[in-house]
Amino acid sequence: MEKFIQLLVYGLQLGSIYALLAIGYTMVFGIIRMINMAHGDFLMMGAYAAFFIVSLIFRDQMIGPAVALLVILASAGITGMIGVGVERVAYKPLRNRPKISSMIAAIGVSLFTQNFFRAIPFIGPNPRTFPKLMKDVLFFIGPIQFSLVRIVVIILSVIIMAILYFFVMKTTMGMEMRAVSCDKDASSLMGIDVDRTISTTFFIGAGLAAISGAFYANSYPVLTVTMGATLGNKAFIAAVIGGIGDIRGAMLGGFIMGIIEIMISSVYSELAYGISFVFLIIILLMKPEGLLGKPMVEKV
Amino acid sequence: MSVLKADHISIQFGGLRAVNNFSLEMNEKELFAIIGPNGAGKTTVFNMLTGLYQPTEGAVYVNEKLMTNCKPYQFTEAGLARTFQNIRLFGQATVLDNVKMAQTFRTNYSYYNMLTRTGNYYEEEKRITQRSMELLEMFDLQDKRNYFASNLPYGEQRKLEIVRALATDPKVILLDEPAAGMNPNEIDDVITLIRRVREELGKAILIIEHHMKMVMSIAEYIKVLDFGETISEGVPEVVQNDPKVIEAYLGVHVNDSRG
Amino acid sequence: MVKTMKWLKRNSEVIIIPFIYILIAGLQRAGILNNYIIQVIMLGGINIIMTESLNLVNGLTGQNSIGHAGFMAVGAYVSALFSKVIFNAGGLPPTSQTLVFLLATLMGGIAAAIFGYLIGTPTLRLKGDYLAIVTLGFGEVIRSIIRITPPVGAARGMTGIPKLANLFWVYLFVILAIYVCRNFMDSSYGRACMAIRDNEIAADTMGINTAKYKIIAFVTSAFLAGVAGSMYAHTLRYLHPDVFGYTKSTDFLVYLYAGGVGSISGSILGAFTLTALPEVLRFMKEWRLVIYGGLLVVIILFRPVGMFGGNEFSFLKLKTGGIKSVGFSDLFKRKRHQELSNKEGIQ
Repeated sequence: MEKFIQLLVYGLQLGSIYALLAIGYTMVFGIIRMINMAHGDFLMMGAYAAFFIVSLIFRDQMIGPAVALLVILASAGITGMIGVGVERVAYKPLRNRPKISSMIAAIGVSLFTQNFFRAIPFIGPNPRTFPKLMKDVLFFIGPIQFSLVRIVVIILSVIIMAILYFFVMKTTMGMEMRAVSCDKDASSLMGIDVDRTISTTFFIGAGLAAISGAFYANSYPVLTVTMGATLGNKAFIAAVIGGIGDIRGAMLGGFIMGIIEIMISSVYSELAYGISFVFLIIILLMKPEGLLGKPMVEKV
Repeated sequence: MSVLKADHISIQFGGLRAVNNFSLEMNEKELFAIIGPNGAGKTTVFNMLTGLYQPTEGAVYVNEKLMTNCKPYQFTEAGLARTFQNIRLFGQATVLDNVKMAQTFRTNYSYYNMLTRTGNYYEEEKRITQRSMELLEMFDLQDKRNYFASNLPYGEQRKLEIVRALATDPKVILLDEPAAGMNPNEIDDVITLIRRVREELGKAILIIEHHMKMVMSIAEYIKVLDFGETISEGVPEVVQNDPKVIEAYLGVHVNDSRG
Repeated sequence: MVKTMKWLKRNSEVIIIPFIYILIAGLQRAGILNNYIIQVIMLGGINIIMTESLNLVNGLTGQNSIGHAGFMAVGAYVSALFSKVIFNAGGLPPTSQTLVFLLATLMGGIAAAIFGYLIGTPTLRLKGDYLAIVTLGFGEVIRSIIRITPPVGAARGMTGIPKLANLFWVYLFVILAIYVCRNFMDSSYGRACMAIRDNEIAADTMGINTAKYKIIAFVTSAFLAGVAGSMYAHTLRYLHPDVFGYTKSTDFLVYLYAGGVGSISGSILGAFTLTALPEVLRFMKEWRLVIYGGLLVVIILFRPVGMFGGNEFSFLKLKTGGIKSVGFSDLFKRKRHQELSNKEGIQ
């Protein structure tokens, strides 16, 4: 039983990382109907950015939680700007073309960024070790051992998601994003700056990916240039399971994926990746629009 | 023999009864029309008559064959064809290919023959090409046979839709707003075309249309829909003067106290 | 005599195709093309087959299948298993090696085709992005299953596959694959698939049983991918499940779209050029994949119809499609910008 609860906590933690990443996929899909295959690489960039900020500014000192938070926010900001740049250069010109063109462009961007990071000398192909952002504290509730850091990650992620949901639902900017998701052309006719809205979406999505990258690197401290790829695929599955285009769906899907993966890994680790796909396929075949998604009806 | 029959069909979408109790029976070479204000359910009726929607009540018969739970392609195999309100041509294919594509189910060579080009592959291809060219010539589109369908002018795209539907060799053809977006000259062309289809090719025709002059001049029998109900039906003279029809379109009671 | 000359002129590919083979083989024999280059050429050929197979589904039928490497994996492993087992049973005269190879390839193709059917059938209802994800998923599931199956080497990979593939066989299968795809495209089957691509609802209404044709396209495509897998297995002689993951599938997507989706010739060009390109850029070491990725973005942004512009080689004698067909000599002329409209093409 203790094992189960511990696994559950691990799962929630991994799940919150997937959820933050999945939100980015789903927001981008919602607003420009594109699957950004390069989204996972934002996670990688965020993790590396945090790494460099810490090692360049703080060297080997142990940094406190407040500073750690600032570092994470800074790396989110940097990655967010990169996200905006990528959108302007590679995706914006393809907005009126068939979606598959954007997917190919995203594949190109992903190839480019991963290998670019590998090629430039001060990052290089060798894995880096991520420094501990906070000293971990283990505590017990009853017979079960908990890690403070994991709990903090879960709580922080939930807070971030709540803030985001509030932002999308209650602010003007959020309303603009929802409008553009519904109908891009009508929104521009209503006076909404579509380009700026899309850029904001990418900024937020990439920023969230960076945060999830920092959280991930804190628990699994090996950085490689390809770390974003597999995580990205899983988060993508999560977004689709939850219903792509729906933020709550992404959150739900992320947590489901995290928990399932941890549970299955504890039994048969080789199968975990494959099983998550089986799960996805079953859900899609039964409810193609995802758990929280709305069916798309084509007018005849 | 009845080529198309709708036996009290209705369709319900959740709480909305989009079409209620619609009936129709057409025989060979007849020309009927369905009219009604926008949103009356006309295209929904078409969709039920072609298998795109399944009626929640009632049954559809094509050439006396019961079509419940059949897929659209089976309706076509049974001898019914249709065109669409917003043109649904195969845009990236040529005009000729569009017409050939409609004859897929009448093509008689096997997968193996296709791969190896044996058997009657060449014969069938030739036959289909020939038949397609005949149809195109009949409607004066043969010169544009290698144009991409999406590059034709609007009026010719509509013509091509009709030619394509005819290529399936149906007994009855359903035209969804064949005159939409056309100027009076083009409408006259459409009228001539529809008459030719009936006389020369012997097809029964059911049209949905908004252009009243066109409908009144060619339809033998008209059914009027409003909010899914059949509010009137009959020959053009009867329908034209039916106060219910006038009210549905204009919303004004004929016997106005001011009149 | 004159009649033969005229026939040869119109069907020049009868001479050119064998000639290309003889040329390459000759250069190999003369030692000008070393084994490494020959292997690159063979891999290029294998990629051509894979890209052609993907073209049937993504290009012709307009479906979004992005897990095609899974079919290649099935073909590779099944054929390799077959030939390994036969060879280990021992005592085969060299003449029957060819037979074993052909049988192995056939079995690989059939196995992949079966998977194509298994995957194609439940996904019939899915559209667009969802179809893409599910096919991606199936590819990964196949890979995961291979990873945990000890008899085929599981995560360590399979070694010791007999060297049965050579330039001749790969070349032959490439030509066969091209003609299979051409015959498919230029027939009622191909036209039905194109109709499904352009407007599925209209296709349904025009008497085309969309489910049937989608499956036919999928299964044919999977078969070809299985054949390519067999070539791959018997060329590299070592298989590892991770090779056949999502990355490999995206490779084929790139070749297809860069070359020109929907066009057989485009697939040939895309696959071959982009297989050769990383090798040519090898001197740039770490930067070559960076260039590769950047090139992809540039092609998609500025030449979306693909390198070949959606055209087809005239030797394929495609009657379907109104695009001006390109002869070998046209490739060397300055290409006028093709207006894909109002062309009086072949008929």
